[in-house]
Amino acid sequence: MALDDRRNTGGNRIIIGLNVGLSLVLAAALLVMVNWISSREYYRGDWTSGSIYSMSKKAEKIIKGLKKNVKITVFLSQDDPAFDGVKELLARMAQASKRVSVEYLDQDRNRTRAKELLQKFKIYDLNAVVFECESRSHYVTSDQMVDYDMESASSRPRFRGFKAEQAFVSAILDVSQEKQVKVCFLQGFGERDSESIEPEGMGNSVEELKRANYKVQELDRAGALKSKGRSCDVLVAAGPVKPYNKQMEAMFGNYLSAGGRLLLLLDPVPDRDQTAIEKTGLEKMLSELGVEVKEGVVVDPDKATLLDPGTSFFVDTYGKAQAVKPLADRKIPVVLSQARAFGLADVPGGIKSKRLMDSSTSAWLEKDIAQEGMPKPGKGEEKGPLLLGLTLEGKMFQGNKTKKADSDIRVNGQKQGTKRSGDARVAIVGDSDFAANWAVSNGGNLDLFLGLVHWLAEKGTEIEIQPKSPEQVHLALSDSQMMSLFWTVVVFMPIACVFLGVGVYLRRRR
Amino acid sequence: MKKITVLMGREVKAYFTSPLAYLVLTSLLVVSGLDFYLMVSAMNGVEVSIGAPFSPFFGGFIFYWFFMLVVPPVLTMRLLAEEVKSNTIETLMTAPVSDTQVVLAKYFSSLLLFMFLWLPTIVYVLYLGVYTDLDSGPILSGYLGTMLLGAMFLAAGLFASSLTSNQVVAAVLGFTLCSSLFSIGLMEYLQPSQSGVWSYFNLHAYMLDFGKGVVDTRPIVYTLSTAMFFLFASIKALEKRRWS
Repeated sequence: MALDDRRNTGGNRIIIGLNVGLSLVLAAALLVMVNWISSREYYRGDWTSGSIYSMSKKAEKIIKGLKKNVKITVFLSQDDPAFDGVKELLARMAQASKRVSVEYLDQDRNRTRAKELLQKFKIYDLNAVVFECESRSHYVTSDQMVDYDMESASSRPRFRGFKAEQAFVSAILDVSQEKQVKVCFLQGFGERDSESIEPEGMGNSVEELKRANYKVQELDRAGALKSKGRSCDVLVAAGPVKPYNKQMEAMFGNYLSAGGRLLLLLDPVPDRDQTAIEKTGLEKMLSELGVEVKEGVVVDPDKATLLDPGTSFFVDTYGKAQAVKPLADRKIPVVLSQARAFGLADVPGGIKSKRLMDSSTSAWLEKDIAQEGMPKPGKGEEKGPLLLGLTLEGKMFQGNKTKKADSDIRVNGQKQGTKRSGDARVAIVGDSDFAANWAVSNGGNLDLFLGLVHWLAEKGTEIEIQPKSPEQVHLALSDSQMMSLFWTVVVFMPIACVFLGVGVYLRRRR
Repeated sequence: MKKITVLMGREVKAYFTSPLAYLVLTSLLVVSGLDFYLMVSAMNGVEVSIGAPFSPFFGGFIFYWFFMLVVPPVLTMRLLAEEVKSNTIETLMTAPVSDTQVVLAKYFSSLLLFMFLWLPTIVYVLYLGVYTDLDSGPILSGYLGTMLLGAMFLAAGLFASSLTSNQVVAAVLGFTLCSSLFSIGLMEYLQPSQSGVWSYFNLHAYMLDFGKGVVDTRPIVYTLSTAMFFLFASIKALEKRRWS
């Protein structure tokens, strides 16, 4: 009776309604609060057996220690094989530090914004991830994120490893540091113009360097020899047509003795009479490093290009040098034109030499550069494989340290937070055409040029993170096994369930 | 706790003696069996990463979502609505059990049935395991994600059932609630510029993560807290009915 009384009281109804309403509002507020906290403080576990989605401790430490905001813009298509891995990795980076923000740009849906950013970053490769900090930017292309096994028998290259973590951490380190790596292009001995957009210039290659967050500067002959305090992280001598004089040779020696990084792109230049190859002026210095500069032009008929079947050829035999590893992994050839060869003799102790690339066995070193028409191998001419490029690393010219130190190009200091070694590095290639505007887009030419500069600057290897390689499995069911699977899971199992239901129903009726 | 167990036993028995459980189980087996068969067909003869064979099974097919959105309201539609319609709610309310115990018992019984429905799909794992190596982590996380989603949708369905005495209305209301919870997160794909806000509610993306072995605390907190909210709302709805 008392219950009925309460039910019938209108005032009580209002009170109960208010009570329930208020409770629900409070519960909803609690729900919002809990989820707001959860959206800010969360943890992403990785239950895969190989922890393929986890970030390495090294990377986590670097990301957590970021002092500046880094904005990451992803231009990657969702169909790209790297997309899922990249999304997961970036989510973990954003989780590790509030300073990391990520934006995904769908180039089909948001064309205006995509176009604006593509122009801002000067990106031509649409499958890329751009890292931005203050005014500096660095972009990583999708082929730098995934390793493929190109020898796979299937029509599609086989996924071998996910290596975006190292590339991304390097890019973040690169843009978050105010100091940029300075690359100086020597001028004064007929080297290629680093700013020119003419076919023989190197403007395109240099533009790519700037996009990779390098600071690029031209250094004239006087500047190289006279200016005090001029500093270069990497010095490039690209295609000199006049031999370097003794002063310059000494300058190179001193630069290397201080741990400098030198890229020599040495074309075989015909002398005035067009009968022999001009000296480079660096023969003595290089011989002290165990490198012999050979005189002649490499002819490789088995690898000849249609462009110039005589002296233009593909190179796909790579050595163990780090700079060409991406090319070797992906089996991408480079195209050289009018190249010279080198020999490796007694490399001094403490210096490590590695081959960059070799010609094919059918190549030879043509010494008779005056002959007309298609070159033919002559007697006594050296046969392939010929060494077309090499790298050297170690302490060099340690006796030169005191000589003319105040008038030389100073080696820039070690970058903060990175582990640049004190060793000098030299990369030598017997051709500079591959980096010229007219040829840099051929094959892996641009990758070779960037790879050499990255190796010299120790970029991309500031930290070493092993690529993630999820275990691959192969499912191979025959037609009869597939049919048996169909009958089992689509027909028998549901029918069994129906019988079970009917059985229970009949039993209940009894 | 004992009272909840007794009530749960009663509900579970009611489930298994009605044709509903077998009807739902049969439809799940047809749908998931077809999903599984299509998935294996697509991967047969292709080399894939060890975690990949089962990842699309959880959230990668439209059938999965159809099942996840339809089944929980069907399982919960009668739980409270039928009690009201058949006036057994009065008996239940005068019994020495609290509203919370009634709601929890009904909820856990539906959750138990939901888990039971997925049990036969373990046969798929065993079947595939005969032919290839499988990574158990992503499979376990896929099931965990499915159970979390089920827990949330069942609570929403139970709340819908607490609002009406008509089972069909409860099912439709429950389906609307579940669909809304699912659809709100899809805004992430439609409004990429504000993806940060919507992504928190994106159950589709969360399930894909669970399917590949990534277990995030956000969907765990989101699904469980939402389920708790709906259960609380159901208790309050029952409480209001008792005193009105």
